[in-house]
Amino acid sequence: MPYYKFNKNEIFYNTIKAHPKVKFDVNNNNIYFNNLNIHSGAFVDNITHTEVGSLSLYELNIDRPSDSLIYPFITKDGSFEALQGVSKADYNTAFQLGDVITGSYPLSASLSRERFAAGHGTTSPTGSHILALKNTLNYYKPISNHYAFSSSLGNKEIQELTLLYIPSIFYGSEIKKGTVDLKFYISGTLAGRLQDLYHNGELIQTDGTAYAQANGSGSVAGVILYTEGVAVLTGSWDLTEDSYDFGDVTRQGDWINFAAGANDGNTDVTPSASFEIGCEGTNYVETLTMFAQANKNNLNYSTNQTYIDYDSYQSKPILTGSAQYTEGLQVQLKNTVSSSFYDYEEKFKHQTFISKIGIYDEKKNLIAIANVATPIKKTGERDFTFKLKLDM
Amino acid sequence: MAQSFKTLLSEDKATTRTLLHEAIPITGTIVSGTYDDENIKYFSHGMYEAVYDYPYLSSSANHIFDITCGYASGSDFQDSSNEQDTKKINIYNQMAQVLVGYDVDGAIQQFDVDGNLGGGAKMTSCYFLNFARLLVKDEIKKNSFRFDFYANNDKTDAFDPDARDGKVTIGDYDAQTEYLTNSPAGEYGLLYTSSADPLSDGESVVGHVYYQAGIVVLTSSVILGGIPTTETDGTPLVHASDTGSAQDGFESLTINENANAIRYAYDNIDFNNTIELNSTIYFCRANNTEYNYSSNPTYLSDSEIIVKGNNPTANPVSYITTVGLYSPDNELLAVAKLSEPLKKTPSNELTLRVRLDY
Repeated sequence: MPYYKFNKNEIFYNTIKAHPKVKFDVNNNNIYFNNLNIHSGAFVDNITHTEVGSLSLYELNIDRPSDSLIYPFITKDGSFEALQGVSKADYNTAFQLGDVITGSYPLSASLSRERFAAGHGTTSPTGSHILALKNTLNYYKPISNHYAFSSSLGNKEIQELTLLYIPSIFYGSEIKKGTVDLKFYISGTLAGRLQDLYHNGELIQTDGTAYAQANGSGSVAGVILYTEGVAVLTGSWDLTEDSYDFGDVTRQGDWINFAAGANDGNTDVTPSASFEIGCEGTNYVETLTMFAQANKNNLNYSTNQTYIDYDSYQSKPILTGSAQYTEGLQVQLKNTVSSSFYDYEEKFKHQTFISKIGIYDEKKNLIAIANVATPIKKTGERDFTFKLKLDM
Repeated sequence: MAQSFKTLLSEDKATTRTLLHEAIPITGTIVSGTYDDENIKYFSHGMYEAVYDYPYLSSSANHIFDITCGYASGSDFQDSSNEQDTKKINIYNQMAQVLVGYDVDGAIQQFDVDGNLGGGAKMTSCYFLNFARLLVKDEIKKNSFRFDFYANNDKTDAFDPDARDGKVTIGDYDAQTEYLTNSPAGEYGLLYTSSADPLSDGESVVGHVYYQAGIVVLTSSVILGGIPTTETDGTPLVHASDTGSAQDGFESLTINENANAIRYAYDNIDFNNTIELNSTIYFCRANNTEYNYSSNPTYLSDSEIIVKGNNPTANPVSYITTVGLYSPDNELLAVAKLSEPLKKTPSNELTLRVRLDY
């Protein structure tokens, strides 16, 4: 089996940029991710043990009863390692060295919403969540003034607003600019639509009922933090003429009440209101591409036992003894050239059938094998280039 | 923004290995009965069957293990007229060459009962359970493997749970210290029975568990009674042409039918897996006279340090929010963020423990 070394023109490192579509639908306190509903099993109502609209991190425990779930555990030692959900105080006081700290699966993530009433920065216990975004929002100010934490366009510390959190497991490295699409429906009718038309994070009202468009067509109702996966919705103009129950308030629909019922603690949102959050994520996949060359007059011999003519091999056996190991001389190769004619043997030609390519490291350790779908006939006149791709 | 770099010395760097585990229960309800065998995948080659935790056509299903069986060429059970004789030999040889290896003459060694390859009884006909890497992770934790199954089943009553009898628990007891290392596939432990000895000859070792490979090898003699089973289409099959024993199964049944017999006898498997977390810890030390100043543009106003509060004689103060790790060429390689800024003054010293997991 011959070895060939890849030269610098035969190895390429590339990055594939993929944009998976993400769509959340929120209705009646339920969240649906990419139109997936609950999948019931033989033992549990939801085989992933997560709420509908959630992603399970490892997707273990599929349809397992609650008394036979896979769970993680770790033994407390000097490494300060613990599992999620164990506070620093508990780690230090509730567990002794050698104690087993257990966790639980599934670990899940989903869309969530947080609404901030006017003046929340100083009055609300969760006000710190918007304050924590102050530096981040100001960082994007050069892209759009609407990112500014405080400006003539508003002061996010005290103005009424809503934050939508999209966990990065849904979108990858960042949300693709220009793909954010928020739709506000009342009884199935599109009341308003926001899009980041200019790829600058501004969520602009582009569609809706005549009433909603009269109030806010072309207006910026918030901004999206593409990398962080947070939408800040501040648009307070009315989208509906009638009032609806949005859980913590009953009033005319507006962008601040967008996605009401999405893991925000509200349980009595009007079923008439439904919301759609669409975007595309960005995933970077590093790939290694290798071109393995099979040049003319190369790779025309095989060390496979069946490559030797059996009768010839039997007549010239290998001789072994305490002082010798001698292979039979002039053992014939099997002629594998097929003839189109009956009872006629074609003239012998060197030919092999390439079925796999092994990739070795510099110490000749086999580290990967590429199999071809069907063996490739290799003759002296033919040359091939095999393109091997490895996702990392 | 870093203004001064500090070289990490050898005493500032430590490597650690932490072991994280998962408890893996695989109940008999998963393996047979619940899904009408829609979670059992058969293959046209008929050399093994795959068990999933949910009907395998669902994208949610996870492959959990494979079941197969085989015997050594020339063993008591082997005969060229047996069902799938060559495949059973090939399966045994494949498993043996990977898990036991070759002798000095290049011949495949057989599974040895007590692991002492120099001599003694061999396991020449075996059932094999190959667990998925999803469950085994880096390895099975030693002394955690327990397999409950029914060793003495009524051969006349296929798939009647009441016809199952002789429940035994086998495990790699004491394997934390008694494991063996003479396998090319890594470490392995001997499987013993803790309940009434199921073996007629009094031998208590009934198989091996290969920790890193995630493979369990069971000698065929763990099955004492009949081996009720099904064909691959689910048709009940009570094999009682001779004795209905494991030997009869190895001789007259296909590999898949033997695997189904194991699923029928199966009650529960429990083991813990192990995940190795390899880390490097960098101790980043900020002495009292270091890192009390910032090059952040907001640190100064009119060339005065803001946090001094217009008192030029006050000590400088900074707030550490980030630690950057640089290469010898001063290329930023990694950034560690603090959950909250740490106040640094000339009157305190800090050691920030930065952990990098691989």
